Amino acid sequence: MNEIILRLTPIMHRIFEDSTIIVTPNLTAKDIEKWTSMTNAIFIAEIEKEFAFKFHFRDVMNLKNIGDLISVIEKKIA
Amino acid sequence: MAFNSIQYLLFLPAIFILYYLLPSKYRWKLLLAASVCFYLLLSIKFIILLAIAITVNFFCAIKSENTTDSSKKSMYLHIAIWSSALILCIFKYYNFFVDSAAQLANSMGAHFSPILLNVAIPIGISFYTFQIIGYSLDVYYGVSKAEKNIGIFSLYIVFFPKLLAGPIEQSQNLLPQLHKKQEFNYDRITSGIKLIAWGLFKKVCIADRLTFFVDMTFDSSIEHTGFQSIIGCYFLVFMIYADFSGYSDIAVGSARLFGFELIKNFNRPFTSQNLTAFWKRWHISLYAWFNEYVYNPLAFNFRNWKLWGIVSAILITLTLSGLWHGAAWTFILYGILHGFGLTTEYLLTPFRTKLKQKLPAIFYKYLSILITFHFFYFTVIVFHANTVHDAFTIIKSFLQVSPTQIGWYLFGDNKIEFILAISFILILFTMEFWQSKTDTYLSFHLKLPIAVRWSAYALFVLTVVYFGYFKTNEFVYAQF
Repeated sequence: MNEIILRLTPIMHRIFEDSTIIVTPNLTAKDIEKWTSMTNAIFIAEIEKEFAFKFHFRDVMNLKNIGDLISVIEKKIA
Repeated sequence: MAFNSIQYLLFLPAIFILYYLLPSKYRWKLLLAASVCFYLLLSIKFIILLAIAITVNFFCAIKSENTTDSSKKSMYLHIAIWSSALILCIFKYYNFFVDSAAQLANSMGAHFSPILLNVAIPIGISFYTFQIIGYSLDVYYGVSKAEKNIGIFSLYIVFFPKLLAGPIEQSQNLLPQLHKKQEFNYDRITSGIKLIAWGLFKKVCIADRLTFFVDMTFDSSIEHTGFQSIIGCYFLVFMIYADFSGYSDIAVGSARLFGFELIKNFNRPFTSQNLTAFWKRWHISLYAWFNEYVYNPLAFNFRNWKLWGIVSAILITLTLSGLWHGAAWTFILYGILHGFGLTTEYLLTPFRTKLKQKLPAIFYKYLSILITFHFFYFTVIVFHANTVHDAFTIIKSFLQVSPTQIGWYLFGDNKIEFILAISFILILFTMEFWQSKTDTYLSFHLKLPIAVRWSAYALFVLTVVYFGYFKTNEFVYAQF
């Protein structure tokens, strides 16, 4: 999990234009001002590029927080 | 049976009394029977369409949930969605698209006489179709469990307070509530009654009063001064808001009488500082639906186009949301304008951030609110006009304004109605401002002494009865 957080952090800093974001499993879109439905799609595309896999829409539809996202990434890269 | 009719004011208390007299295991059955009767009283012939949509989606959702084969899951989803969408398209959009295609063909020299359907649009079809499709998608994506009781599922779709014009309920909100035992709760019931009364005030004292001025403004046979048109279009914005938010209050209040909490459809939209915020506060349930089931899948599929993916997803979503309101170019243009508004706002984010840092905070805030409000103001003229040409004629008439037009002769012999309309609009926004300072809707007055409170209730009822229009004007959104 820690390694995924380390790789997600610079992506989130860049996409959401905030270098103070501390990525934790409980972090949600509500906690980050620029994490909107508009920036979310770009965020998903950047994760796919970083981890070299493709999400299905079903994978990302039910995500509640970063912890859920990490679980999906873990399954995809396993 | 409109919410502002005497029939509804008799129907609702009758069902309410029966509901709490019955043992709790029969209550949902009473509500289902009442909801079916409610629909039958409005439209007997179209109940069959409602029954088809409910049955197909109910069984497809169960089948989809029970299979692990992804192609079968997908097949059941497509059957469920397309059967409902097909009914909607045939009854609501077929004539429009065929007629538009014929006009295009004829303008290019081809002769094409389309076969048009001579049928009315089934009441509430846009609302219940979207709710049913949302449910099927929720089950498919695993957001909700498939409902196993067809009676409860039918009630989820036809529950009378929200059947005709929403709110469009998400399955996670209403379905679990329908399974819970509902006890008589005095506070919840009185808050429901107050909400119904407040909604009626918005409808009969404000919306129906403003209808007169708005109809005059949009009557192309009358020549208007620029000032009349400008004021008439402000009244249009407040009329639509009072009408639909009034409807939504009565819907939420009625459901609350039976122990159910529906989605809040409006949240002081005219205080929004940008269009993105506006669409989270205006017709919340519809735009939440479009965000969840149209924008998100589109943005996901277009994600590798980056900025242009987002722009395309916004434009398609908002255009479709305009079309949802009705089969007319005015509605499509309304959606396109909002699509362009939202994309422009998104693309200008860096500029807006810089401007926010440079300008005094209070100035930036009120400037943003004014710009957002007036963007909506112009688009709603397109929304309400009979044709796009009529909308532009009205907007062009704004230029014919002169200071001599301003005065109390504004609407001829209707000065008193004009003053009443302005007064009630001020009461509406003062109350909304006041209630925004408390957490719970319409509960700000509970700390007042009991004598003051009950005097206020009596005064309020007298105001509604004395100044209200009780000609059973249809709610604007009930037409969609």
